[in-house]
Amino acid sequence: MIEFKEVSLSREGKTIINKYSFSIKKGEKVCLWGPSGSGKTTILRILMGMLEPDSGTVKYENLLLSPENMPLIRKKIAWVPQNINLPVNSGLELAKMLQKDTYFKQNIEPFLEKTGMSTDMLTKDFSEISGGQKQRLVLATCLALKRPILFLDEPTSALDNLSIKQLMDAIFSMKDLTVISATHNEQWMKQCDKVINL
Amino acid sequence: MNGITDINLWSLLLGYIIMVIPIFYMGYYRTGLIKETFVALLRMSVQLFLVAIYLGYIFQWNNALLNSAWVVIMAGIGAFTTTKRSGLKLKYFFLPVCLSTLISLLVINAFFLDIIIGLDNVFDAQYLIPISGMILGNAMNYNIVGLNTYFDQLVKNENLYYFILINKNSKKAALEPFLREAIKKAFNPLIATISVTGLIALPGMMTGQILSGSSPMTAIKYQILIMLAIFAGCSLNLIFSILFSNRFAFDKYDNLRKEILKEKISLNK
Repeated sequence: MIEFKEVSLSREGKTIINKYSFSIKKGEKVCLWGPSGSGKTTILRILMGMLEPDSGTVKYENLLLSPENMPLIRKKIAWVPQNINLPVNSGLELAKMLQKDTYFKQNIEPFLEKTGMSTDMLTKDFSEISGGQKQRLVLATCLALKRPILFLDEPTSALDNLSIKQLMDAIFSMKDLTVISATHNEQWMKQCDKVINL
Repeated sequence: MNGITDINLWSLLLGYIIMVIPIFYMGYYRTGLIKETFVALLRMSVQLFLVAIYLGYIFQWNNALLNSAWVVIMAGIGAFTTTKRSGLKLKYFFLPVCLSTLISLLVINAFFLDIIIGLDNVFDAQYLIPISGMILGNAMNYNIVGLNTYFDQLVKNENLYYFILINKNSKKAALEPFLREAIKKAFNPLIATISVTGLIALPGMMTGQILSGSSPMTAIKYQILIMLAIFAGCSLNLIFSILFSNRFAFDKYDNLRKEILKEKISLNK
């Protein structure tokens, strides 16, 4: 489904990744694993088109990652970043911001349950909820977009153990969803189908 | 109403004496601003005298082409200052900012001078130059705040831009929060100024007209029109400046080209 072939990237004379290759199959749960600064976020960013590699290719099925194909590739992917300052005050506003569908509220409800939250969480002001709840709301909103590939950057960073378990249950039970995550969480890493050591 | 009383050169020079007060305090509190103040005063005086001589000729000749050329020069200087003060590289941003300034001037001048005031000659120096100057002077300040906010926020809040770009698959939607913030930051002071006009602030143009012998009623009508022109002109200028700048500010993957912003913005991260 995704082919990352001989990709190299240097910045300011420093090699960040050198001729790195891997492939990801449909439905695989993949973990990018390594110490800080090893290139996990860089690889995620290259995969999403945020960084252009110096050499090598990235392919999504038959689509080469290129400026012309970016709108088509973005239709296949969703991204939950680690830290984000959202310009909205509630989950409902967030869902409305990201979805073109008028049934955005109905779309998100099943994913709220999956991530261990009640539907009234949608209308709560962000100032009234915890960082972990906010992160799960962002995740539920992204899952409601129903994209086949999900990118997660440190998905467990703001969560307690119970929330991590609920999140893992939700993500790993979705068999068709391809998940590419960068994490330091060992529990998460062990549950993944594939670990890419950096 | 009587015409304005001219100020003779000695009286004008005597006027500079009032500057003793701020200069005394600057020295007393060791602000280090005395030299800068003298340079600024000297520059202001020389610039204004030169402009008076130049405008004297422009008004005397009153040639449409010459008047338009003068407005283009003013727009160019305004765009140059805006680009530099916004922390953007001239090479990439001067052209879009200058173009947006000229377009907004064209729209606003055509509307107010031709349609509203109904001048026979919209290129008449007596109207075209001061009104363009007032719009430009204000637009420059609001444009600097707006452009600075827009690019500064894009660098600081990069994740938000990508979050919307990827998840909504729309660059236009991804830029919306930044455009909104830029407009809010730029126009809040203008809205505040407009709302107290006449109560706290007696605008320069209106004061000038009254001093020149116009009736207060004529002066406020012109003042209202000029405030409307400034508001509309500034908003057009800012929105066009941002939209035109976007063509240069992003690469073919829709990533912000941070290298074309000056260090001032990049370092704020």
